[in-house]
Amino acid sequence: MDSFVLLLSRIQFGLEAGLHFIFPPTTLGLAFFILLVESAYFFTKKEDYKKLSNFAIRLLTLVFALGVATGLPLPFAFGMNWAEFSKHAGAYFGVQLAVEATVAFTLESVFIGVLFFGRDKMKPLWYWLSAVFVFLGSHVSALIIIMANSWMQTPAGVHLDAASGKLIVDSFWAVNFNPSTGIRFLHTITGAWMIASFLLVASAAWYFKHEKELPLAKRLMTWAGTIALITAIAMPILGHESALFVEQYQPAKSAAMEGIYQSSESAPLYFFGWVDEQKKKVDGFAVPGLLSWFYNYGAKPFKVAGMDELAAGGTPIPPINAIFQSFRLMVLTGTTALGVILLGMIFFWRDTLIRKKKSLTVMIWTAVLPYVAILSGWFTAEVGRQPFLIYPFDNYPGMTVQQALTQNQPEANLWFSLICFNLVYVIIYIVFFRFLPKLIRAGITSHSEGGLA
Amino acid sequence: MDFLNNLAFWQALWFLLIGAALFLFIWLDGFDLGIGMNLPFLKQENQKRAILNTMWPVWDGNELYGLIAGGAIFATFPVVFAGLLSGLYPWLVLVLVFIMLRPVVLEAWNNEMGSKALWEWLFAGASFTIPFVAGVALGGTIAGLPYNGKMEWDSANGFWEVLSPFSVTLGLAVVSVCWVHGSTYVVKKTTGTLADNARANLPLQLGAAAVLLVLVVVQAVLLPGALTSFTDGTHPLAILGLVLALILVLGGLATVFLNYKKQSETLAFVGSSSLIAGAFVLIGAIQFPTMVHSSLGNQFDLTIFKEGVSNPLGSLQFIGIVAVIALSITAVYSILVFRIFKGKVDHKTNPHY
Repeated sequence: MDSFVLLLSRIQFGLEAGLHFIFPPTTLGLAFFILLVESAYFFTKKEDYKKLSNFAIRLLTLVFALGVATGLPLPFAFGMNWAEFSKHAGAYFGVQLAVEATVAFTLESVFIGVLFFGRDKMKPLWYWLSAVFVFLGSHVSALIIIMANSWMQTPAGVHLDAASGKLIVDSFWAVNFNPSTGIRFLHTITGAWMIASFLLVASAAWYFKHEKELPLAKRLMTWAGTIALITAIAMPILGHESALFVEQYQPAKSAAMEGIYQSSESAPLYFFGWVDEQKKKVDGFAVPGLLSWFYNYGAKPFKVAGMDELAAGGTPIPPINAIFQSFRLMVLTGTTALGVILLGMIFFWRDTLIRKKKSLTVMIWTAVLPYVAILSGWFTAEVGRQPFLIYPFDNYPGMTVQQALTQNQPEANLWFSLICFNLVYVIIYIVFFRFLPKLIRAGITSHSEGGLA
Repeated sequence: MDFLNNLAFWQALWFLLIGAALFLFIWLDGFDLGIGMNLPFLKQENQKRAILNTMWPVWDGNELYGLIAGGAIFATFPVVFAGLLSGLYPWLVLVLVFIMLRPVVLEAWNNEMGSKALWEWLFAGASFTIPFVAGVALGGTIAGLPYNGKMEWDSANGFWEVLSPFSVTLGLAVVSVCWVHGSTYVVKKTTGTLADNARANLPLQLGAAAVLLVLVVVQAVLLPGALTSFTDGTHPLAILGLVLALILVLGGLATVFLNYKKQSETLAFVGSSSLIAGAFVLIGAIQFPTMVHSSLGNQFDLTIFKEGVSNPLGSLQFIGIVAVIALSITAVYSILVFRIFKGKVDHKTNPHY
């Protein structure tokens, strides 16, 4: 029975985190965009920038409110469903969540209220500073959470107390700036900016297609499209750097992502395929030696550790095909988005985009792709550390998901929470999918004129 | 500065800070919960919009202190965090669901989606359930929850275990106090019939709060072992706290009663704030140094000084220093933000929402 409770607990946490995880990246990217256009408005006083900012602020308030609502069960889930984890790792993890709430999240939420309700009530300098605070609050918040999440991948800076078996923090600096924090922060934040800029690009494309708000929509396309293009180009580079870290610190995850069973100095790179976990082979299209080459650009032969060798050495192997496919889905959706925005911006800068209705339709729907990419990337990272919740690192033995589970939790409780939470998530998503398009279609200026959105 | 390396100092400080965070939550979110309970009973759309306008810019910031209180318990007493949350599981689901629904319901109401009456009743239900369950859970920690010698929740039935006449009375008392607090806030922030209606409701609300608080105190005195911290002579602070609590509660009730009809509306709000502060000092005085009483025996009580209940010294120091600095800054900008939105509001105040 306990293994069934474990399964339900994992499903619940996965759903909570996954359904939450489309909102915070959008918030981050919108906060970044608002900071840019609000700064442009503060220094040039051009009304256009103010209108663009008001538009983005209105989107931000919806996304932020739903992000808070969907994210609320997560910190509590550590106590509800993962009580053993909370007791074991509270000395760091609880502290980190409290730091996030007091340092960053307060700043963000208080000043989002100011941005939305306060433009006419304060001096321009203070209003601009509020935009800076929202940017800082949201990004520091993301940094603190990614530190905690990265620590679960590479838990540096701690040891186990021999007597009590509890976790002792040796250095909060070493814990927070553990080896994977830096690259994972850059990879995630850039992804967040990409998500929001593609959403804004889709809005601009919708105005183009319906020939609404044209001068403003062009300005929106210039700003959002440029960010979208830069971030979409940066993502594969940062993703590659991130993969190098995974290969170094979690070779089992890396080997599963790439479907490598036999260790090899000329490991192949699969472009697509299907992992047969019974027969231990991958059917698909591969370029021999390319993966090894990628890991060090051919400087010297690079031996990629295969799952057979790792398993023989006692390293647990995560679910292989699941993360093999989700990793490919991330790369596929990300690069498709890059292709679309590259072509779209070329058309836009040549002034032909507005006549290409089909291209505009494609650009509108492309907004979905970065979301799929970030979710499948997250899935790859978290399923890839199974069966561990905290991955082993140096002398620290790690903690498995099984060990982390609340003891003696009645199954009925899980059903109750699964039904209740998911009912709320359905309502939240209905609201989101109805209002987001409605806010966008209402037009950029409608959010400055005092009409109901 | 030797006390900074004293574990007991940090444990006691965190007991106070968690109490303070819970107070801030009920004090700040209390008025918008109280407002929410009244929403479906208002007749006109304009009145509904006007009372929502009183809370719109600040309520999500207010709610944050509930999250901070939860985070603070996790950061300092993870055993209590894990035990309470996993033990009170279904109750927590109920509260979380309603907290999650509040902003969504407001967006739906504001955007004229579906039935407005449905959203209003949902909002009112949420505004009732959140303080009620918070009070019941708090009552459970005072009356005793099934903690065993391994500091684990020792019962499969978390749903009924927490219910007792005492905890339910405390839950209703918290609701009534939020109700009073919402009305004094509306009196402070609005004009005309809306403020007059709130004034007309206040005597009933005050009476209900007073009766429930008396019932809470009477039952608390009758709880087994409740008076030990006052009678064993080792806790002069407890008696001091009790006196302070009585002054705050009685002074608060009197201040509201004497001022709610006058034009100096701020004093009534100060009165209801004092009422809430007094209630928290009272609970702190009764509980210290225990976080959760065990219903399986006094020796199993989770007291803050007990070995293994709190996090190690290094963690308490780190989060202590970060939180004190961060919350001081938060206090400054929160006050500045409240000043931006000060003054009376009506249904036309936030036109672009």
